[in-house]
Amino acid sequence: MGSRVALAVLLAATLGLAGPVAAATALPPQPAGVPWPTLGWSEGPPGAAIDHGTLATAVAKLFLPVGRGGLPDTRALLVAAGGRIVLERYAAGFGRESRFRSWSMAKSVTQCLTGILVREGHLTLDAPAPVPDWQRAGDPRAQLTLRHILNMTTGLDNADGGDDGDSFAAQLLFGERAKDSAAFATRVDLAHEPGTHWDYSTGTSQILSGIVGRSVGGGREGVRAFAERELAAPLGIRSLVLEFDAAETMLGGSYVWASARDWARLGLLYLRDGRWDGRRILPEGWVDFTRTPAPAANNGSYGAHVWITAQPGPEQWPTLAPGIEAFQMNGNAGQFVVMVPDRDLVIVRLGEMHVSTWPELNAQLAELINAFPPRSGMSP
Amino acid sequence: MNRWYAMAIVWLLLVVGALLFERARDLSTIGAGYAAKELCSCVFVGERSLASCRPDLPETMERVEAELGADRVRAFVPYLAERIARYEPPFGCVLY
Repeated sequence: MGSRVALAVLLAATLGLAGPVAAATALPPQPAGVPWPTLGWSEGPPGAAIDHGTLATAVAKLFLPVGRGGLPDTRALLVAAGGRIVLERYAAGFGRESRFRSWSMAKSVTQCLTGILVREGHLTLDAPAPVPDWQRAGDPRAQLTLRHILNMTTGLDNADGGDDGDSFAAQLLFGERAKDSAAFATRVDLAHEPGTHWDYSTGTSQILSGIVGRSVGGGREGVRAFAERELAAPLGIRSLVLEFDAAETMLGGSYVWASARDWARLGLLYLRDGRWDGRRILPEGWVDFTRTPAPAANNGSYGAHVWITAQPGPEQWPTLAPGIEAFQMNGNAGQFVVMVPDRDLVIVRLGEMHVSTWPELNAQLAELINAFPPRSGMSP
Repeated sequence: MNRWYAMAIVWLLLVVGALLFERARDLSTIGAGYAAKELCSCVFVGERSLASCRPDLPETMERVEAELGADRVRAFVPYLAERIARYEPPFGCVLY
């Protein structure tokens, strides 16, 4: 296994994808004899090695009827271990065919489309980001790269701004200027030197969405067709809906819909290092770049449009629990697609979070993950 | 002199009122936009009923009213703001 890690790091370094900190645990391959879930998921019991009592308790907590109207906040919970679904449960009124909103998990989908464009040679991580508004002579934003954007270290004055009713994110998505979100997000000034300061920004994801749209061409139909051809079809994802603003920019910071099973397929793609059934979807080293902390002092354990829990720190948010090494797509109201390499797990939790808080939900998910023992032989 | 004081107070109240109205209008525009987009996507993309989707909005949206049309959701705060999100398959709901 060590040689696999060394090879991955070497390839990542060769392509310029890895940051200053190498990712830790090797990504597990699809187990022999387990078919890729392109046509359908394999299913089976969780296995004898897991802690069934802890698992049952964790699932029961997640489905407590604590939401508004006595409904559970959790609407869908799916656990794929070793490439097979070992647990799947839905709240009343929801099921396998239900589509669930991503909120900010959309950022990771946009990251995925970006990775495909990098693999195809249309985009380059360390070249100036192709944003026409920034290319005028003397514009300091001309130095911004795709890496800055993916790491949320642009230094642009466009942080989401918390829960204020008129925060930057609220204006971006729902205000008068939401009709052209990429233009709104692009036309802000630098507040920090690029690469030195991390800020969570849906605006930055809308800038990325604009880059993806211009790279693909053809407006929203072009982006939809590209996502279908290069991502959804190869993985067997059938429920994907990308939403767009009135200017036909993908709402890649917040609005992607898919079923729980399809969210799990996307998670499995990342857990399998960007490969799917013998085909490379994401470029070599992309997933390690994805799960490497952004190089800024206050990065909040963020990688490249994906959250990381590998290295707990005082500013880490959200965190699962010490000792669990994971990387995850996260969205408002407790949307989670968690990839846990050393346990070969993909966990999907979708729904609302009216009553529970992030720490409570994180603790419940950590309890769920801890029911599954680390796989023997998985090592950094 | 008292007349000038009274005029100054009235002027001040008018300015404060205008600022408060503008603030309320801005927040209502965002709130109506949020409700229209969220409910439209929930109903047409999530394939749920409006009654099922409505409780998923934050409690701060309770003053926003919403009407479901054949291909759209109109959300409004009376006298302050109105927004429409239209379902344009296969691209989901677009907020206008």
